[in-house]
Formats: sequence, C-alpha cells, structure tokens
Amino acid sequence: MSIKRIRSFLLAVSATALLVGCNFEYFADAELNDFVWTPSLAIPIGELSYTVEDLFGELSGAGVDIGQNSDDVVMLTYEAQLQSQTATGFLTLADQTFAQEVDAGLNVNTQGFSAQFDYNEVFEFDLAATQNEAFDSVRFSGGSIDIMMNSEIDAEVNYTLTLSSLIDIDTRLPLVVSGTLTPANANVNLSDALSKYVGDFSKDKNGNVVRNKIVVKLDYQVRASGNSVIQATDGVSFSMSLISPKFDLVYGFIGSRSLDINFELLNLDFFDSFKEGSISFAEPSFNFVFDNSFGFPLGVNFNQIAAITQKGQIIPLTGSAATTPGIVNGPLVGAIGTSVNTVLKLNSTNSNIPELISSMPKKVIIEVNTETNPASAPAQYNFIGASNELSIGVLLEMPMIVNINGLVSRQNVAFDIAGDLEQAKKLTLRLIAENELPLGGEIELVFKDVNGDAVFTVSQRALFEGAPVGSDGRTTGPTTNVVDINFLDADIRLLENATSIDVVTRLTTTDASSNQAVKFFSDYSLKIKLAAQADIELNTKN
Amino acid sequence: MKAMKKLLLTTALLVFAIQFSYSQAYFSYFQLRELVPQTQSLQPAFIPKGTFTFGLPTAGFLAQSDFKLRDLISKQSGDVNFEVNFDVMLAASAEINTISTDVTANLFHVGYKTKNGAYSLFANARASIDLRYGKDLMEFLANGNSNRIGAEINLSDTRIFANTYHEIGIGHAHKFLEDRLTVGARVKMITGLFHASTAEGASGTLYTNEIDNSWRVSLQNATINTAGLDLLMNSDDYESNATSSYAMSNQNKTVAFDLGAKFKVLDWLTVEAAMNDIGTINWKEQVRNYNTADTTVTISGIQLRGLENSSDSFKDSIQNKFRSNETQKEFSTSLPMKTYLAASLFLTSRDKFTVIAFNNHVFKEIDPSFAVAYNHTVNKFTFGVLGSYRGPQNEVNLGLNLATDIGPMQLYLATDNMLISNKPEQYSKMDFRFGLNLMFGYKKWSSKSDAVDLDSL
Repeated sequence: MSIKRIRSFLLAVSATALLVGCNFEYFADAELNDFVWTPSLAIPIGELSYTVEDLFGELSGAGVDIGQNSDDVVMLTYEAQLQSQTATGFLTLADQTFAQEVDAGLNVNTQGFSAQFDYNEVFEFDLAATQNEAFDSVRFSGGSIDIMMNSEIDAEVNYTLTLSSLIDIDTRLPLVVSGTLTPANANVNLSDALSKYVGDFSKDKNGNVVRNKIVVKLDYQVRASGNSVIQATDGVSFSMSLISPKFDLVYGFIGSRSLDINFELLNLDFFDSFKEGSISFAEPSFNFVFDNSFGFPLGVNFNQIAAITQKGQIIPLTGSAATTPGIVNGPLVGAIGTSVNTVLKLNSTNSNIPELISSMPKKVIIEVNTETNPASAPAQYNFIGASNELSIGVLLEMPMIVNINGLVSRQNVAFDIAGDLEQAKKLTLRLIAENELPLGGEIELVFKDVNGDAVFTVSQRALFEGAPVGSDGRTTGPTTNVVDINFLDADIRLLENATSIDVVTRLTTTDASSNQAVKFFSDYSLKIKLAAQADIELNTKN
Repeated sequence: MKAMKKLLLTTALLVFAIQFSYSQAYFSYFQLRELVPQTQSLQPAFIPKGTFTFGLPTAGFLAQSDFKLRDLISKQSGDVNFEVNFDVMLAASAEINTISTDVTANLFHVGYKTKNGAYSLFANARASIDLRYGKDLMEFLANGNSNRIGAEINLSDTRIFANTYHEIGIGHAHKFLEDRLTVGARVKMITGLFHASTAEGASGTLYTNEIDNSWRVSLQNATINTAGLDLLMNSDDYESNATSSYAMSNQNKTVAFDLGAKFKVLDWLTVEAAMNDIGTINWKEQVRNYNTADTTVTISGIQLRGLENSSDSFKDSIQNKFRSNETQKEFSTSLPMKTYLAASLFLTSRDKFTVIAFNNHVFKEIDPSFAVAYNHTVNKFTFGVLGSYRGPQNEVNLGLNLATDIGPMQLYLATDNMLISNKPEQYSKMDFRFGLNLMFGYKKWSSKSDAVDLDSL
C-alpha cells in the first residue's frame, strides 16, 4: 500500500468519524433517579455485660437486696418487719385496794371530863399479783391514789397516815396524810396523782427486803370529851386504792407472760417472675431478728411457719426449730435504754427451710409466740420501761448456692424501634455469649403487636451455656456460644407491627440434672455481644 | 527495505504501547507541536514556525476516568432515567482506578523565534483534580463490608490531589548539533491558590471480625492538607475582597521548571522527551491540616445496658477512639509532574507516525498511557489522527488534531476522543483544546522541502 493510499485512507477515516455526527439518545428525556444505596453492612452493635448481681437485679424491685457473703458468694436477702411490741402490750398495772380498820379499845360513857388517847400502828399489804409478778418499785406515770379515812369514835380524832411505800419524787419523803375526824365529819376522802410518786415495794415494815409490799403507818389521837360515849369496838378505819396506775418504769420480776405475734403473711413477690422449672437453694436461712430493750428474757416459739407456693400448696416448717423455743435476751438493769439484738436462725440444720424456699413460695405464714422469763432462760432481774420495745423482723438470706433446672422467666419489654426497620431488607442478628456463670440459658422471643397478639416468634434456642465447675466450686473458664437469628424481608415487615417482646428465658445450672448445686460467685460475669449483618436500602427520596 | 524497517518499528512500538496504559494526556494537542506555540507547555523543546506569535486567551479541558460515562450514570434495563449505581461502578472498576480532570486556561502567550531557537513569555491558570482509589473502596461503597467479613478492606490506595494555581514564565529552546538536537526549558513563577491532598503515605484498612463483626480500623498518616479552601467554604468569616486579594498574590509561591529535548536520530526518526511541572509549592497561607493520629482501634459497639440515646452514644464511642485535630502547619506538595516520551517516524517530510508515552506523576507512580498518531501536513494546515489506549478497562480512543495557518491567524483544535459526540456514554475520556493565535513570519523559516506539493495530495 502506497503512502498516498494510506494517507487517503486516514483522511477518509477522519472525515467519516467527523461525519458520524452526534448521538445523544442516551440522554434524551432522561432524568436522574433518586439515589438508592443498598449495601450489606456487618457491624458491631455493642455488649450487654451482666454480673450475677445484675442478672438477678430484677428481684430487687420485689424487695430483694443483692450482695455477697464472706465467701464472695452472691447473697439474696429479703428483710421485713413483722411487729413491734410496746411495754403496755406486756404489762399493765392492776388497780389495787387496801383497807384496814383499827379498834380503839376504849370504853367511855359520859365520864364528865375530857381525856386524850394516842395510838399508832404499822400495816403491811401485798400487791395483788396476777402472773407471779413481784415488783420492787414502780415509777408511776399516771393514775391516782384515793384514800378514805373513817372514824366510829364519838370523839374528835386527829390522825396521821404515812404511806411509806409511796415516795414523793421531789421531796423523797413518804406520802403523809393527816387530819381530824369528828362525829359530825366522820369520813374524809383524799385523792392524789400517782405520777408524783415512786412506789417502793421492796421493804417490809421492819426494813427487810421483800417485794410487792406496801407499808402504811397510822397514828391517831382520840380526844374524848366529857359526854363522849365510846365503846371498845369503836375504832378508826382507812382504805386506799391505786386507780388506773400507769408506769414509767418497773423493777422487779415481770413474771411469766405470753405474747402472740399476730398472724403474719409475708409476701415474697420476687419469685413471681419464675413460672416454670425449679430452683433449689442449698443453704437458705430464715432469720428472726429481735431487738429487745425490755429488761427480761423472752422465750420464742415458732407456732406456725409455712410456705404457700404459687399453686397454693402449703408446706409447714418442720425440724427442731419448730419445736424448741428460742431465747431472746434483754438488757441488764445496768443498761436500761439499750437493746439487745438476738437472731434466731432457721436453716438446713434445724429446719426444712431449704424445702420451703425452694418451693418458690408466694407467701410465708408466720405465727410466733413469746413468753417472758422462760424457764429455759437464765434468771435475770427484770425491769420494764414505758418506752421499751420488742421489735421483730425477718431476714431471709439466700446464698446463691443453687440448683436451677429449666427455670423459666418471662418478661415483656417494649419494642420501640419498629420505625427504624423500614430501611432494613434482611437482617442477621448475632449474639455472642461469653459466660463465666455455671448457668445456661435458652431464649425465645415473641414479638407482639399493640393488641398483644404474636406477630413473629424467634423459636427457643440456646443463648449461653453454663460454664463447667471445678473441684473448688468455681467455674473453670468461660464458655462461648454464638447464635444467629435471621430475619428475612417478610419477617422484618412483620416486626414493623410489633410493639413489645415477650422474652422467655429458660435457665439451667451446670449439671443440674444430677441435682448438683452450684455457687454463683460475685465476680462472675455474662457478656453478650450483639452484632448485625443487615441489607439496607437508603433512598435519597426518603 | 527501508519502508519495511519503518513498518516493523512502528508495529513494535504500537504493540509496546498497548501493553501499558493508564493516566491522562493531551496526546492530540501534543501532536500539533511546532505549529501551535502553546504546545511548549507539553514539550519546551518545540520551536514554533512563526517568527512572532501572539496567542489569544484560550482554554482546554480534560476529564477521564477508568469507567465510562454510562457506568457513572447508568440505566436499569427498560428504564429511561439515569441512576448512580455503585454496583455498576464496581463492575467497571479495576484493582486501581483513577479519575482525573484538568483545566488549563492560557491567559496569554507571546513567542519569538530566532535562527537557532525561540523565546516565549506566557501565563496560565491551571486546575486539576486527581483521584485514585482501589477496588476495595468501590466494593465497600457498593456492597458494604458483608462480603469481606474476616478479611481486610484496604483503603490505602485512595488518594486525592487537587491543585489550582496560576503561573507566569519565560521559555527558551535552542538548537544544537546542526539542528539535530533541540533543548528547551521554561521557568515559571507559580502561585498556589487552592489545594487539597491526602498526605504522603496515607493509608487505612478496615478489618471486620468474623465472630462479632467488630471493626479494626488502622490509620497511618491520615491527614488531609488543604489551602485556600477555608476562604471558599467560610467566606462569611472574611472580608469581601479577601478571596480576590488572595488569588492575586499570596505566600504560596514557588519556582518551577519545564524541561524538554528533541533529537533527530536519523533523517526519518526523531525521539524526544519532556518533563513538565518540576517544582514544589510550599503552602504557607490559608493552610488547614485535618489530622487523625496514627492508630489502630477496634470498634466493638457500646455498652448497651442502661443506654438512653444509642445513636449519640455510638457516635461518641467512635469519635473518642480517634484523636483528630485541625492545625495550620505549612506543608509542601510537588507539582503533578508530567512526562512525555515520543518517537516520530517520518514516512515523508509531511507524513509521520508518532508513538507517544505519557506519565502523570501526581501520585509518584510510573503508570503511563500511550498513543500512536499519524499527521499529515499540507500548505495551510496540518491534521492528524491518533489512537490512544489507557488500559484493558478503557476503550481505545480515536483522536483528531488540526491546525491551520490562514494568513497571520492560526486556528487549532485537538481532541483525544473525536467520537465523543456520538454516544458519549460509551467513553471514559473527554478532552478538547481549541485556540486562536496570531502568527507572523511563518514562511521565513520554512524550508523548500516544506513547500506544498499539490500533485501529491
């Protein structure tokens, strides 16, 4: 081919190319659509990290405190106050009446001259005791003492009545009543407030140490006139009554008195969330905590303690704790105003408490009887003050040494991200559980609409596996479990109608089938990482 | 025999050229050579034919990428409308992809030819944007990271270099060795205006953990240096004349060079080389550096318990893992140097084949593209056709160049893709150079052998 021909060819090609013209058909009537981005993103969402305390944190709403014992084992405690008993519940002072008549022994019949005769005599009375009480002293806070003097003698009688057992608080002197009785005014009534006095019933008329004694000395003088007629049987009498006495403080011996703690129903709501399966606590204890500021010991009988299960079954307390009274001590007389704390523990060694608690009771019936100065308690000098109190509480301690087998918990949680699912076309939710607890869990998710109807269910599947337990009771290492939950486009569309999720969790401890109880130490944790792989569609139009 | 040698050599060069290709070039414009004085910006050793040349203001532009226009604005089957679809762009992507735009405005050009060379005085305003990205980036944009779980997405291939500056300079070309060797040089005073670029050695990777989908992000030298952009984006913070004052004069100055040489090996073979835009701009004024410290972080989500505002917490969690700041430290960038290598075979005194290799060193890589051109010269005009090839992922472009000498007035135009108007969606390159020069004394330097042989046409 000659150069000329090549040149001609190239010229022809160039001319043809130029003459091909324009073709913008691709752009004709075309507009730019909204930008649609449809990536598939694999992203980490985050981590749910639970300690044992966190896992059972739901129980705290039902009054359970979650802590740990000295072995670092997680401890669930439930505390409730049963009753407080005041002094008046234990002791009321009865009205007391004492009377004495004294014949003058005179024989006077219009003797025509005046004569004067003096008498004095000391009397002892015993306070009436109803329950073997024997008081040394009583500081009264209320009530009255009514005294009546009477003379049968036809002459003027000057009298002085000294109540040695009633000591004026201010003067520290006995109550003294004196006056004159005449034939025209043969009776005199006197009254005084008891709160002004302290009753000292600890000495007889000879000064010997006794209890419950009231000593009264009567001095009187008969002034016979010339025309007085007095027979030998005529005399002087007195009576005195302690009306509605109230006390601030009583010393002595209270006697043997019983007090029934009212029938109590202890509501244990924290088991309500567990509907199926079993949980057995190996070492629970039911502690009755007494704070006693009364100056005497108490004997405690657990008349009736029984658990009422969720299904209404009644399981009574059995064992030695149910039959053997416990002793609640009181402060000694030198420690008035203080309280003595006594804990009576019901545990697996003295009762069937593990059986009661493991029944996941809804309620516990408690009926306790107390008795003052029980025979089994060491003798103690008693006192009782008006402000003294006996408070009784219960403390349920449940160390997490448990066997859990198929325990089902159901919780309904709000599901408020339905609107955000619009852009998701396919979703794989991955849950990676790293578990140090000797507790495995299966989960089922039921998505519900506003009417409570299920719109989509994620069937039950293992979420985390219980860690194996070593010979020291601790888990030997964490287990890891990966769960993928796939949602197709149609599934996600259903989820858009959901407003809540029923989260059904079925829990089982390691080797639960062999009745092995495992310990939950406070440093255990369960971490659940959430990740997602989502096909999304983002549209600039939206 | 001689003609056979020429043909074999031409074929060999053509095959060689086809083996390598990438980058951008004004191939057709380069072919106008001595006819159009402004081509000295591509090859300083070009000596114009006219004694005195005055170039009127003109402009040229180039845009090219490694995907076709229909990949950028694609159409679904049966849909008349366009869409931007990352999946389509991914399908069109190679392992490494580039997008380049270049706009050059020749503000004036004055040339004077002497017996042994030529002098020139010129001023240009130039702007270019070069983007380089790996297939991993496009795959991430198209498909997310789900296809790369347990694997690394390497974003280290991603680079951007955007430059705007104006230059004023003088040039001189001189003949040696009885005119067989021509050496040219141009010295330019450059004033940088606007700039944005990734820092040298910037790299980033994203690894998605196969178990928990956590992201391990590694960043090194993650800095974007800018200059002048704050004036544009926060113009309200500046006085009204601040931008124009900055554009006229600022501290971002440097001296740069264009160097070129042309050597006639044989009567029918000339080889030439040019290296343009040799220089470094020290950006001192209106500088902003957006830095993220070198780090490898793992993004594993947030603690979800007790969470109230998950989106804010998620954002804060990620932000807190990176230490980012903004500084105003001066920095230096090399001008995007460009290299032309060419070999021309003269079939006759008016017909020549040329093989051209071009490399843009913007990312300091040897990644040339090639072209084979034929030009024919007649009395009043020169025209040529050209085929260029940038790589297997790009189409072969057919270019055209034309220059006329009608009296003292010269018109010229050049394009590397003259078919662009016919279904432009099927092309990945578009460029155009057009201008008007006033040339005097053209025939003074014409040899008798250049006289038109009308009979041979």
